[in-house]
Amino acid sequence: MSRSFHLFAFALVMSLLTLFGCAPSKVNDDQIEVVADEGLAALRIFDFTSAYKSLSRIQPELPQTNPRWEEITFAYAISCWHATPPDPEKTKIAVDLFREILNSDANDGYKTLSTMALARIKEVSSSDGDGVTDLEQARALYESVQKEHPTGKAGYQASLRLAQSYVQLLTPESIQQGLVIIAAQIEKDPVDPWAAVAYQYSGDLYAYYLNDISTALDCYLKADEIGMANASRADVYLWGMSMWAAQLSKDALAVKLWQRIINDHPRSIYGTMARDHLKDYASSHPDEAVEIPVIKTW
Amino acid sequence: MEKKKKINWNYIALGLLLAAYLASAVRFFVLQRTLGDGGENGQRIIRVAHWQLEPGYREALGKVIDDYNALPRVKEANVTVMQTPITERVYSQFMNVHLISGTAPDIAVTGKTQLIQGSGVARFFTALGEYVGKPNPYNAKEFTSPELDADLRDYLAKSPWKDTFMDGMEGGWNDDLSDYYSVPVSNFGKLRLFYNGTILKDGKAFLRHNISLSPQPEWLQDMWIREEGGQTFGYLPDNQRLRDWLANDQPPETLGQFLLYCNAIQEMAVEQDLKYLAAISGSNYFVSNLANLYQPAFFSHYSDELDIDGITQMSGLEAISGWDLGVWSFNSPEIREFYNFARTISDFFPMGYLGLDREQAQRRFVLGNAAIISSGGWDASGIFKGVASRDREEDRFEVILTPAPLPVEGERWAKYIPYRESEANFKAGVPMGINKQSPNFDWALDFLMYISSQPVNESFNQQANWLPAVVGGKPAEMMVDFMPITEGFPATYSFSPGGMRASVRSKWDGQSKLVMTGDITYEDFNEEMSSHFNTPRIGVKGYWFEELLSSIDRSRALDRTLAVEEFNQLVAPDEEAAQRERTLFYRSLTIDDGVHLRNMWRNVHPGEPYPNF
Repeated sequence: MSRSFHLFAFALVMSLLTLFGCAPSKVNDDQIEVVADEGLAALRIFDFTSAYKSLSRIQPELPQTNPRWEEITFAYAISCWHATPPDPEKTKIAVDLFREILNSDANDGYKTLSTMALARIKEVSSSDGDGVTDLEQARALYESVQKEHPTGKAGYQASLRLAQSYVQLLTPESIQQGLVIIAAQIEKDPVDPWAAVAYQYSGDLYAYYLNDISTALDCYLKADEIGMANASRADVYLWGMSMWAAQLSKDALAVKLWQRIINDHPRSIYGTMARDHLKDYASSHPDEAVEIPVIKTW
Repeated sequence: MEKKKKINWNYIALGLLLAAYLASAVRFFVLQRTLGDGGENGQRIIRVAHWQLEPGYREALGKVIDDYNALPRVKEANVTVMQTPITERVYSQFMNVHLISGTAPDIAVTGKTQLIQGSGVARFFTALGEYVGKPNPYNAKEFTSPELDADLRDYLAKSPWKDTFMDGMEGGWNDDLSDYYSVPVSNFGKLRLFYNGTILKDGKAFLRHNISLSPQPEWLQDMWIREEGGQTFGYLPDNQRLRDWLANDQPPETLGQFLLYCNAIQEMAVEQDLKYLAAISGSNYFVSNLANLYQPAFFSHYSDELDIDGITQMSGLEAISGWDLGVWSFNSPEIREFYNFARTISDFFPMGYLGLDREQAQRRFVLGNAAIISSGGWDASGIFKGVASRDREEDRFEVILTPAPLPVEGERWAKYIPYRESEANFKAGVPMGINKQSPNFDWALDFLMYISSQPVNESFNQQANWLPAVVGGKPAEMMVDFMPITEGFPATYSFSPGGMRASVRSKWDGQSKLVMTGDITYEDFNEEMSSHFNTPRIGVKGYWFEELLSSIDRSRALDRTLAVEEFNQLVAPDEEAAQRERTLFYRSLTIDDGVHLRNMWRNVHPGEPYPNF
């Protein structure tokens, strides 16, 4: 039969169900896979409402012995947590589900993400819809992840969120405390790609929260060595770094950064400014024979 | 007496409704049969929806589609691509309805539609990240011309698809989701000035005659730059550069020459009784108001002092906060001089130009009733074709394109406009995405690879008279002047009323128009704007408050995206997604629930509580 007919029949059935106030029937065991896949597919495209609709039909009855329990439960918890608009009732369901995962035999990945999610719910004012935060609880949860995962992605994420929980108090001491937490994490695991995120964030804190561009520049240079977190904006970061270097009279570094903007990022809107800075520098330091790259034109 | 039977209009209305419903149902049914695996003969129809109705674009796209449909493998698969051009006015509604109902075309130009803002795009369009890292098979050497540079051919054949775009496929990038969701197929080109070649010759001859008179006419004497009572009058000096320009047949090379030329056209129109001739064909269309092109340069002088968030992109908040902190005011020379400049420019527009729209402005230029019009590459084809198709040979004229000229030393406003805005970071346009519900994803992707391959993209855009989106694509001759100019200051250095929140933007826009047309004095404008900025809920403090709310929303949106990305990474890890996750996490850290805004507020208003309403 044609697809149109199916669509028509589906619309008719749904209309009748709506008309007579009937909820969708419970899912049979053999339909669980289909409904779960529907829900997960919806979640992957950020359709939290559809994901919730599908997963709420199966998860509450799903036994922990089901091989897909942890996947479905975690996905259902996310769809509850991120419902739009934020709904305290659904957030409460999410919290219970994350806790259920923690008390289950679920694999470590789900447990770590559940702990991070619980901490984030406690940390962020808009998460549970009632504007209430509990930083102490949030920190305790982040610290538990840190302890469990001293290095790697989970360790970095927990440390950075823990640091942020102090930074948000916006006192010089709390910002410093945040920086100490990040530095300790970098020391434990300096080669992970997440170290670049940590260095960049530290650089931002030094520059814009503590007004210390010298340390900020050092942090950014280390992030650059590893590979910037947001590579598509690399030229913007290089420009910012070159301006800091110039302010700090680190002329050689500034020159190198301006040259990189022109050579490595021909489409950078900072090309002209970088070249003009190089020209100014070259004219005031004629004996240094500074190379002024040509801006590529299309 | 027999009662006359009355017509029951309710039944007629009901009948009409039923007929409309049936017609709609039949159309829906017919349309459905052409979707998916199609009708009885198994034909697959792939629809391409877009709103590019500019002359030539549909025809060029039609040619590409015909060529694609004629490919043996496409014919063999019984696939047919068709275009669905839709007017810009209803495109958004059309897409909204069809995306929700599941009947949207397989390929559609993204943007416009509110439904697909932010992460919403992922609901309806397919992420292309996993495909853009591999070479485009239609860029293989067997398809590219042997006349192309050997290195370029090699590059096109081997490079990832995304790296074969002039903009690195940024036009298809979604920052909120850190992934590619569309394939840009054309370049708009930047804003340029279109000169009427015939009027240019006449205007310059008129100028040459007047400049040789002794004494020179009063209007011409007013053009020479001079200081009187501490104020600057006129636009340029009478020097050798000017005489050299007058002796050739080129359009104005400097802003001073441009303003002199516009004045000459106005005087010529009066003297020769050319009632409909305007120097510049201005209208209420943003880009045809030439002053808007120069505004970023005037407003770019405060970038260092306005930067309070450390992000090089200047925000509306930084701009309005700068006003509050006294970094700039409506009495600052740069701002005041911009409005003087804008007032001068608007004098060259036709009377009542704010009541004229884009088409009317174009028509005036095409009909030879304006010496200049400013517009972008998307209008070039229409203007060139319009002029070439004038009925009488003598009505046709040469169209000359130039970038908006900059002032040189010794000319008015030279110190305020040291650079033009850099066009280096242009993004290719007409981004085509693949509808998530399309049952023909593979063929839709194949068609997008075909249209964005170097040889096809070049010929397509040459025919459409747009700029190619792919490296190595040569533009049509008339479009060469629209290629991006990389020289200039970063757009991020400046601010504009258009970049502000609605509560400020609408007021500023409206007041700007009034002061530019001379309907209000600059003093009234200053007073009105200052009073608006000082009004708590809609002014500076309200701006901070609204920004915080937006920031919290953005933070939550990032958390939602991150949660899904982390889940995906757990289920099926891959390096590209891991990089995306790090980017999103970093952005989440820096925005985090508006902490960065509260920090900015703390820095500029120490000890004061954050505005709350």
